Amino acid sequence: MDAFEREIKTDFLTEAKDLLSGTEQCFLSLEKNPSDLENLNLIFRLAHNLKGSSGAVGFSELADFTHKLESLLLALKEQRILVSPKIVELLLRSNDYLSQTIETLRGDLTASYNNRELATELCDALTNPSYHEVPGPQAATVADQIESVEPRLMSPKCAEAPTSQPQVRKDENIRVSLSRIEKLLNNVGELSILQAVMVQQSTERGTVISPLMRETLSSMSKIIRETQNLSMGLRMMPIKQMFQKMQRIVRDTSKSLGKEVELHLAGEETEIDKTVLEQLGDPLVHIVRNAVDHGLESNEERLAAGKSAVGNVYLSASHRAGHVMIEVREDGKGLDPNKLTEKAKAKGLISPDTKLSPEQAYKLIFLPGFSTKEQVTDVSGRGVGMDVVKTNISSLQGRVEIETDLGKGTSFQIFLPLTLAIIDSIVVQVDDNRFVVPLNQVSEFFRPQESDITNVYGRHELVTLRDEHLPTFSLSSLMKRETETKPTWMQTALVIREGSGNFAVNVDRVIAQQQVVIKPLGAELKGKTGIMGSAILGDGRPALILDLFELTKAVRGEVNIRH
Amino acid sequence: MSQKEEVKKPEKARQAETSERYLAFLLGKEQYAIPLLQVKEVIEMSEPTPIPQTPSYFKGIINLRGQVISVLDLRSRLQLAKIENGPKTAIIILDLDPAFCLGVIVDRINSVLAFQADDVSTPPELLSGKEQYLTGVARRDNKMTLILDIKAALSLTDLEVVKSNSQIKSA
Repeated sequence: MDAFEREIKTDFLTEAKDLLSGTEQCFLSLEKNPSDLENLNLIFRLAHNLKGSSGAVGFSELADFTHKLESLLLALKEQRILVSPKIVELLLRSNDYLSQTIETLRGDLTASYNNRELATELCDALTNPSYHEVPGPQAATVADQIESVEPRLMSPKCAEAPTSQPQVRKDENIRVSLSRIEKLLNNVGELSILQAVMVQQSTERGTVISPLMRETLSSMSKIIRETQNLSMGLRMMPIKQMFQKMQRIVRDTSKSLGKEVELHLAGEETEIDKTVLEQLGDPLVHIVRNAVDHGLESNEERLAAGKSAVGNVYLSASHRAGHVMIEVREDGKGLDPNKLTEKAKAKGLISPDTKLSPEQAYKLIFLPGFSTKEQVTDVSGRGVGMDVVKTNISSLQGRVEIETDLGKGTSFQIFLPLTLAIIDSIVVQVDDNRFVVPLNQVSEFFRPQESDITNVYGRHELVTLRDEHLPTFSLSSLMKRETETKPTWMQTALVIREGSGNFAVNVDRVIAQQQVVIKPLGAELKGKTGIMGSAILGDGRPALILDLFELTKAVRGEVNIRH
Repeated sequence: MSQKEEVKKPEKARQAETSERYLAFLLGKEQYAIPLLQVKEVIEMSEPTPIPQTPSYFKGIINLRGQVISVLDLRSRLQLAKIENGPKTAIIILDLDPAFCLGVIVDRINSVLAFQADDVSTPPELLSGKEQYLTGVARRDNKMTLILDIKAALSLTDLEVVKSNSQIKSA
């Protein structure tokens, strides 16, 4: 394969991936509304495009497959055969196969991807009447709807129309690689630092600058700030695509469980950082699956409880005070705190005499090895899932909250930062070094009095804050600085609260609270405990971003003081 | 060449020539050289932010136009005598594995040299300790240039040391 061929093939695959991202949505709405001719036309055009370009770049088997798919779609479009559930199933499988193939080929251009069985099935579907059976009542509605369709659309001439004069949708987007955006962000960040230095210089005493210079400087600052906001926005993407994937998940899950479920979407336009979006997929799939499987009752149970037979899952996204909130809510049976507690005890996850508040009980589902469903299904219920969800969300600097009402339903709320690239932080000084600590780790900081410090066995120190005794660690000794550490009461204590126990970390002083852009470190520093990355501070010098939980993990294990 | 000047990668056509180009620099009294293709740029020495619990040759991190780069002291890495930083001390930003962001501190940047294949001889075996990092010795105008295998000198296994040293021991 020469370079040119490789290039056109790669281009085609990127394009095909884009084309296919829309098709699943179309097939799913086809299932809901089989007589939607516009939708069928859209699918047909997609298949047609794919056929044309795959043949042109030399993926002949792919072209052959899409040709067969196109024939079937044409028959559907011309209403020679009707859209039956079996056909939709087949179309969805073809769509899966195509996406998989494109993905495989993107990895290896020479990979073999032939799927004769599916291709044969596509041909078969055209002729075999068993594919055309439409369940009784639905058949009637389909027929009714077909009759109601305007005759103009039924004429064979019109059926060809979409291909000859495709509805031109203006694509005003361009594809830009993430690495280029990152370079741009680097430069813009650097620009704003240089600008800050310049402003500082100009305001220093004894500096004489002309009024024009001052004016230029001030408008430059504004433009740089705006550029920075704009460039940060380049990484943002609407959550829509992710939500559409969930439609498929809900459909497949509910089908295999024999439940009727309707998914309601809201806030699909909400924008979120691309990196966050990518890592959100798996946790969201877990939660949505769980909602359908564990949360919702069977249709019969729902009727018995006086609810509508069809279960509802609401998926929504919105901005909330610097965060994105994604909510998965269902109107199912809700969580029973007593049942959860018993289950956890039976599984030995908590000791038998533990007393838990309802809120604490709900959090049990995030424990590894916890699964509330008696029966293990192939959908969910292997006891892996929710704990992974929590870990994934935490690694995105986010959190999950549960709201539940017994008998009425449960809501999972995922709070995520708008972007992973910027965090709110405090800058602290220890000896002659500055470190950055994420603000979400620190609940408060204070200057302890000498009388607030208690020494335990001459080794560990406790600091008292409002009747609470917190084990305290010096950041200086955690960092193994060689210098002598100041006594605790001369330092500032950062209070860190987490589930397993609160503690304090001492620093010399808190210099500033500010937003920082997280800069990755090279592989030579990857895996260093307690270091999340680095940030460039206002004076242009880099500082490490510390993860105080990780940093103190080992020493906290040793102190082991329960509260 | 000026220290601040960015080192341009040679054109592809040049690679085809028999001579290879090297960036020559001073460590202590000796002239060393590394292939120019492994050099991204050369910058003035700037004081790095130290990183706790790293080996002494690991000097810290610097900000290179918005990118954070780890800086290693090549002199102490090769166990050469310690020399105070002067106005000529420079950092060579390396272009090796893209996963690593590394710069090395050297005493002075000398020049870009082109050596023919027969200018370079294999390093004498007697050189103790350090010879494992040398790929050859070039001689020109009665001046010796030690050609350094920078990848080996900063080998990944040694950088793993950075990792293992980093485990926080209980206080």
